[in-house]
Amino acid sequence: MKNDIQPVKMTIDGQEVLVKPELTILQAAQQNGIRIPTLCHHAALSDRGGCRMCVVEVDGAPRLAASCVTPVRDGMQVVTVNERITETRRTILEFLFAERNHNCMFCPQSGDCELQDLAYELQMDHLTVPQSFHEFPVDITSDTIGLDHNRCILCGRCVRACEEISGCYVLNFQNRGPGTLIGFDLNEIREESACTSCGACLQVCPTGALYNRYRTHYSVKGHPKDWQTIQTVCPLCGLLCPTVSTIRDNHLLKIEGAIPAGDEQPEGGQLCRQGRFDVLKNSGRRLLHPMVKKADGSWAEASWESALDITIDRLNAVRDAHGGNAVVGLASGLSSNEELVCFRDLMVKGWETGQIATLENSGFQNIYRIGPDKGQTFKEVSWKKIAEADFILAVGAVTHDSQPVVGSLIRKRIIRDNMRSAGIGPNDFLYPYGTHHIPLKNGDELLLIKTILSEAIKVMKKTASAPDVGKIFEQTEPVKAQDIVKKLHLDGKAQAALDEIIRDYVDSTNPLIIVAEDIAAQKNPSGLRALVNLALLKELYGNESLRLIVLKPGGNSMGAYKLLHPFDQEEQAETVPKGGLVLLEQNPFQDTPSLKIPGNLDFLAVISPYWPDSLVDCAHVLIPKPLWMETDGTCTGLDGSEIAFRQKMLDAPAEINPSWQTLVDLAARANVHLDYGSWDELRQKAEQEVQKEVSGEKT
Amino acid sequence: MDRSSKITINPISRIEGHGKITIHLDENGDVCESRFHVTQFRGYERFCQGRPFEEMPVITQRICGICPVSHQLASVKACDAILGVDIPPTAGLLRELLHMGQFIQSHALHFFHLASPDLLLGWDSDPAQRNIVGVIGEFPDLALKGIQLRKFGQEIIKALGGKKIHPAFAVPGGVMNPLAEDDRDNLLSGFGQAYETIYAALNIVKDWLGENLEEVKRFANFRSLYAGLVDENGCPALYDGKMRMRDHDGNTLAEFDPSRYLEFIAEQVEPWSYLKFPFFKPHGYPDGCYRVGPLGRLNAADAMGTSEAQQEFEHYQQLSKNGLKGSTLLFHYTRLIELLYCLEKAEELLEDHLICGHDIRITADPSNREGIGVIEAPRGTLIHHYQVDKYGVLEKVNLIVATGHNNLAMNYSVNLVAKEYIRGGEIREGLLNRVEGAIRCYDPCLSCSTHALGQMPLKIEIFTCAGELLNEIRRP
Amino acid sequence: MKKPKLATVWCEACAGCHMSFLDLDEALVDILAQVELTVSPLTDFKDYAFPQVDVGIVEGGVGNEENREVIEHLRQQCRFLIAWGDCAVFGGIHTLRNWLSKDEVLRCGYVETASTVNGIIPAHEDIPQLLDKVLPVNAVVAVDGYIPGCPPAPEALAYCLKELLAGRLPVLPADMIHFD
Repeated sequence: MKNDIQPVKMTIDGQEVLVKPELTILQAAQQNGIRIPTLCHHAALSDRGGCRMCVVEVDGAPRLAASCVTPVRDGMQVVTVNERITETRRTILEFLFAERNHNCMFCPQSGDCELQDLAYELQMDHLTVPQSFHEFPVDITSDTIGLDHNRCILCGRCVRACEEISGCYVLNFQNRGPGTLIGFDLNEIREESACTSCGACLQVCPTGALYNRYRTHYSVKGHPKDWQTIQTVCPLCGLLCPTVSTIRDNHLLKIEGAIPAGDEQPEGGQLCRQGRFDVLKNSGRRLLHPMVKKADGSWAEASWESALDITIDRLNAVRDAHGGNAVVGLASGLSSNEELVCFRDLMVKGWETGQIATLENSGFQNIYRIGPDKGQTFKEVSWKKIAEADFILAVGAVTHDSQPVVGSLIRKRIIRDNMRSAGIGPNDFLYPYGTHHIPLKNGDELLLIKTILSEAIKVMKKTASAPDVGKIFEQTEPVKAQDIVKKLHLDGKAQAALDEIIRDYVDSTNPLIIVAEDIAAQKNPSGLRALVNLALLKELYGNESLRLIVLKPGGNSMGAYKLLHPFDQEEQAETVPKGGLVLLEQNPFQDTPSLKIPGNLDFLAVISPYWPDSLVDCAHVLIPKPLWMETDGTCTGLDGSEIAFRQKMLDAPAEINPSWQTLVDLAARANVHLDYGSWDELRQKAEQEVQKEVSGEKT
Repeated sequence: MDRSSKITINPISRIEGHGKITIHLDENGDVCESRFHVTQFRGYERFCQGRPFEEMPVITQRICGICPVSHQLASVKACDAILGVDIPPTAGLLRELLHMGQFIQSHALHFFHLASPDLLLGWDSDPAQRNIVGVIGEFPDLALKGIQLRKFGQEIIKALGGKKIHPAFAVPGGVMNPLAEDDRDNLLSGFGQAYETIYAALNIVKDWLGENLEEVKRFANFRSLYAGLVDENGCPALYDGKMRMRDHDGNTLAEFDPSRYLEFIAEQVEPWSYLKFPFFKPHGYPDGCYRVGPLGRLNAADAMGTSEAQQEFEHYQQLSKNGLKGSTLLFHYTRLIELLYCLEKAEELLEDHLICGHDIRITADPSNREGIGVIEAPRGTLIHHYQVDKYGVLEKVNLIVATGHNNLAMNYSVNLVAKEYIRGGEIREGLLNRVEGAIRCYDPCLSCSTHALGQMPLKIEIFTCAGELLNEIRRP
Repeated sequence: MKKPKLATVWCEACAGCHMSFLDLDEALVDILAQVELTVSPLTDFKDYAFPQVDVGIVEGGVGNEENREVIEHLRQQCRFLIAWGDCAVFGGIHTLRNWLSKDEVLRCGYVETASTVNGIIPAHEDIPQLLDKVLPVNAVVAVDGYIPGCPPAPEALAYCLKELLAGRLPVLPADMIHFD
């Protein structure tokens, strides 16, 4: 059918072109390399035709048409630029400038502003209309997003982005006429609104109305054309969102969500607060030289050689006195797969240590220890499959802070597709869009899951059940729903919701269960078993994955799980650690990482990009390393199946060795030969190991 | 007030001027009061309210196109205080380097473009020639070197902030971008000529002072207090230090952390000027008259802190012992000593191994509701004082600009000159040039308040009590 | 050929545009050789009344009575009037006070500031009164050419002077226009 549709023949600026009939004039022009200035149009958003900047002359008609919303037509004659059109556009611009207070000289966005670019392009060197000089409010109640209504042109891009990109529906137009303002919720200040600070609005804002408070006036130096952009992924939470980072003078200016190019209405550009804003923060002092603590407790600069020598000598001394198990290794969950491989090999081969772990809570691994009854390796569904689900059950303390993009994906599904959803736990991160929410205090969720499982089985038994769930039916001890309802003090509303959740789950054909980190970390195996079994009531996703999405605390938690876990033997006898090596990563948004450092270590060495303020007291040697954005690395995605390469954005200070090199150098001093060859070979090795874990062959 | 007659010296009269002078005579025709009026007011204290604090460094530098960097740095220091952070060492070096660039360009501008015509061509030479164009004609080589020295300062600013005027460089918590190594090397190659130029200028001033010793001794020479920021060794601390107030005899009256400025400095308003009159609080108004800027700083300091400038400083101290200490004309000499100091300091900063570092900014959320940033601008101590709400929106702003501190002293200087040249209604030849010369010594950055960049066009009108024009003196 | 006469003034502004003019550095010497600089903050050629000039260049907006007199007078005396810098072209940063009453602005500056001891608002025959609003020059008199920028690049002024010398009314090309 589709192939039968005839292309449209039209003329743009005298050039005859053939285009698809569903296009707008603007799209047709863009596809043929003809630029039409736009303002309220944005590649990632639906069109509104509000600003009239893209007006063109169609068939010589006296009235100009907005090309972004005018469909093409066979035989159409389009002129995109002539004196009349330019004059019209310049007049529109003048009114936009005159209406509010666009003081470029102190606007943080100056130099990176579409409104300003157009004014230059159209040579708007003065205004012929009087300015209103009316005061508009400024909202900087957010530490990330600044909103200065003085610079707003009411193009509505942010309103559409909030809806279409982030699924937040927080921004909207308020008031009328010249007093119209972009507002948060029902005219709240930003801080008190439901805004998740994802920043999609400021990425699409064509002026300085919505701006990033961490970057100011950077564009005075140099021209945007001289900036370097790097397309890579964000490693901070495991979702591996594609990003475009902008660099000047080896300095990170901004990180934006990548917007895919293409004819279809692309959706993209979404990041979260951490990926967009927190990465720009620099809350610590860089560690530039190896440091050794002197006898009087003060720090002295040391050479790399001596710092590494001391580290090895002292850790060896710990081993000699207390055994290899007394040496503990802790690595940041944001470390790359390559760093984790080196770190593990050093610790295991150097001191036979049985204690390597991530700094972040790795309790979520408990759920993997349950293992499904049917004997397959625990394999979870990719979070991207939320796009296909018809029911989402979110269990536990799912908050705005961990993987917020997951939340917005769900919200968009609920609003656009009427997808049903349920939340169980202390807060309702889908409020007010979610279908059901049962408030429970943290820790009680799995009890309710048991009820849901038991009740769902009852319902399913009445219908023809799939043969392979029979075993679950048999194994599951029926629980008395009424007892649990009483125990959890569920009110009538919650009980009604519970009934509906059970029905929704049973009726759904493609449900997914989102498990918060704290749920997966629970120590009660029967509760976790119930969760897994609940997922198994529905057939495996794509015949291979449990219908679970487990949220993780660190960006590369799955990499760490897969690479460190086999060596983290639970059954091994606990030894009191006496020495330690810590591999830190830039974690700028956590001022003091909650480290589980055993007190009074005989020796502690810390490899860190920053002065590790929380460890300075107990550490003896500090060794610098580059930031994650200063090195190449791979990270493992949230579900463990995806491995992404994140390209370095910045050059590390010349005097700092890459951390994998430092680890190899340390190993050499411990008479351990870590021969990975080149970094690329190391990368392959790490990838293979992660993949091996995926295919279930445990070493 | 006795209004028996009033002389108005109006820089381009009622037309352009942002500053003008009136001299009031009593019934005997003697000077009873002289006033230096600042006629411009723009209202930064009010219209900054409601703005996010992080915008202040770029907003307030628009107070002045001659010393924008000083405002930016004072502002950003106040913002650092609001954030409650210590900036990374590299950021501190870069800010100080920017500041040195500002001093070099501003001091060079004043000496070569504005003051040198008086010294090189003579007080009473033809005013049609007595400007930078005239100096270019008579001393083309020196004029060009002067232009290039100012340019050198501006190039430092541009290498850091991207443009020469109103750069965007310092931000709360640090600076915007690192210094490229190429730029550093380029700048370092420019010092040879810069030193050559400054030594030539120093010789001109020292010769001139030697030849005109009597006039120097007499000219607006008065006892006052002197103020400036000093470091722990008593050397001038242009970017950051303790504020020291010294009396004419060299006794330190107060040395305090500048954030305590309100305990020591207050401002009086006179109805006839838009520029307020700061005074040393313990001495009251108008006795607490103090001078800032090069003369104030050097008279408040014990030493210079760089080797070449120290030698000149010692020479200056010898000179000022001979009853010259309070002479307003010594501003020219002290300004050049500072220029030499700034060149040495800039070179030292550029050779620091951290200057090209990338650890240049620390981010934080506002943790204090108040921030005070104090810096030595080329013309003297500059105070920015902000109060913000819990989000960082400005609620109150107080600014005491460098030229403001000298306001009392400028009025006093004009008065002294006027008294010398007007007696019994008789006006001696040369009044016009001497009055503007006295004001010019202070290098008043009057776009912070008004301006006196050029030489003032002078016309004196003497009115009778009835307001009739009695006499009119015009420059030929 | 007689050298064209030039007058430059600054009103409600910061002097940055004039400083930017000085940033022509060595090229300044050439330019000053081609025009006759009359009334200007840079020279002594000032008079109570402007002489007849070919080009008048204004830095700054119109913020007080004196500014307005200057601008009106200069307009009468010059053939071409050029607005120079964001303040002259758009009103500039000082227009931030335009939505406030001038009394409020004055009261804040002279009564409410932390260090002021005798809160009175200056008002005197020897100092001009503020206008209610700071206005761009073209809101007060007709303007023939515009050079926006805060400050405009030195090259922009040089370009305009060259155009004027060539007998053309200057219009800045797109790549020379900037507002910051």
